[in-house]
Amino acid sequence: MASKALPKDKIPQAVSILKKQYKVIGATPKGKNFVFKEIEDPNEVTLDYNTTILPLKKFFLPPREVIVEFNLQSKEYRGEDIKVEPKVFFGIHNYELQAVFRLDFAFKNGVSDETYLKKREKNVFIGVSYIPDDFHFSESVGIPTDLKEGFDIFLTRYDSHYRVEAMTEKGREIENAWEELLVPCDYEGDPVVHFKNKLKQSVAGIREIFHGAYNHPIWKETARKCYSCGTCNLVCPTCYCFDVSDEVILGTDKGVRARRWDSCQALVFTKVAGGDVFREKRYDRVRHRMSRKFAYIMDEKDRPFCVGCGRCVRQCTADINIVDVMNALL
Amino acid sequence: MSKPKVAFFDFTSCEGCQLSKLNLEDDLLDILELVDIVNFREAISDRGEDYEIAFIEGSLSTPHCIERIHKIRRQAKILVALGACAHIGGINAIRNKMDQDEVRETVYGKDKYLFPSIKAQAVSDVVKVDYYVPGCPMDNQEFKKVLSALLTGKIPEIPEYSVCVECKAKENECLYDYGIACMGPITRAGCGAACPSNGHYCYGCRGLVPDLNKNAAKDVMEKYKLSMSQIKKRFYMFNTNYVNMEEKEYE
Repeated sequence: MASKALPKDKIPQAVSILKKQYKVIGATPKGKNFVFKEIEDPNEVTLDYNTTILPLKKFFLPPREVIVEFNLQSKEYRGEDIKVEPKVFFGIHNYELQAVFRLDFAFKNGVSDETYLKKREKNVFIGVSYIPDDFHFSESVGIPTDLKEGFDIFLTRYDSHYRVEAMTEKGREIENAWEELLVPCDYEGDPVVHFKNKLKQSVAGIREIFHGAYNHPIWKETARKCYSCGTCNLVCPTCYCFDVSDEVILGTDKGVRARRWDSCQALVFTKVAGGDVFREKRYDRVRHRMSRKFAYIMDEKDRPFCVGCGRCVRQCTADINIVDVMNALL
Repeated sequence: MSKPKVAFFDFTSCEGCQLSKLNLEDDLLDILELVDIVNFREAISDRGEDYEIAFIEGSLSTPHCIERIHKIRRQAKILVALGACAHIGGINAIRNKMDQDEVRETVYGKDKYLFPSIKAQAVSDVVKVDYYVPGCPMDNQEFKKVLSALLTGKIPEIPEYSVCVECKAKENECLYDYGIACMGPITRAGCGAACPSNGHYCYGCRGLVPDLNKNAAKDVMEKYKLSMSQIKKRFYMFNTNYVNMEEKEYE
């Protein structure tokens, strides 16, 4: 089947074309790692990366964000003034976008979170296929590498080029804008890729197993190794818990209400008014994180809130591996 | 409404935390609108003994310190410890690990008997401390937040989670990726991960997180092939007093 491809050496040009209409966000190297950032120089973007330190959530739910400004004297308050700019997320792995959809679910349901949802407007996603490293385990949580759901364009990686597949109207517009860069290519199916890191069984039955695992010894064994530093939550693409605080600026009546990423692994997270602590034991908190990923929300949505990006495993100084923990239960 | 009377007192320290108040140049006049400073050796010559809020800098390291801190505590309605020395003993506590007589001799020579000293202690080891502004040096922005909370009748809150939380939020590369032992995972946040963001490991100047996991430290040392002495050195910078407490379980 004839198809169109973007040669690897034309990527900076493809980014330059996008930059005419959009803010472009993509992965760039940072030391030994990668980060998503707004692309200034089209040459800095890379499509060949394992995972970034932080996921895309930082663009929709910033690490710290002022949500309300208030004045104690006049009793006036004003929400955040969000400027919606068209953005292209260029070179995004499929688990990353799946995670964004899960955040959407969390922020739309119940009381919808306009501060988040506004930032999700006018987003265009250009996907790219990837080769799983030792940490990825997306296939085990229902996200095989050829899943292209939700992308406007998907780029499948081959040796010298990326096969271009436009899937939406926006995607076709971009494909047309790239017209002069594209070359014909043969398409014989997506390359088969294997994951080294995997769960012993499919996600379908995980929920039931979880419900019987409340007193499993793995929670205490894992907690023995855990610092409760919170890294796993911060780098997780589907963790969205935040803490809200009010601050009055010294000597004025003005203040702000801000929210910042929080971690359910920190003891203080479970401290409530009156000083009570409802998950005082470290193993309670370890179990809570896993339950949030594989049980509680699955009950509602039938998809785990883990997308298998492997960030929490890669970045854990204490070497706690969510896959090993899960496999102990399965 | 009369303005609350505030006093600053220094104990064993470099006095940098107090001095940094004078660097709050843009805010000093605002602050003076809100409070009456009645005692502040580095800034004014008055020595008022009538105050409601006492800010304490420095650790307690002589019998005289103990006497003085009790007197201040009796007077102050609210006592706030400023900086690492007052909060956790800090750098002064390094000498707690040494032979105390030798220490005195090194410093005072044959006059050592004229200068009695005790192990350097955090203020809270001796009297009740209501609130803290941790760090070495303490952060003026945090000081302003604490002061603002006190003056608006709120409980000043400082972070109880680890430096990793702030470090990750800044998307820094983890220093452990480079085989560098960093105190971040077990140190109280609030500094915005200042050191790791500027290429240095965390020294732990803000003290340990409230629920330290000793076992995890052992595993991580093994993983990164770090020796006990390397880890201890990291602790000795600011947290000597807490190594003593934990030592049995570390070894």
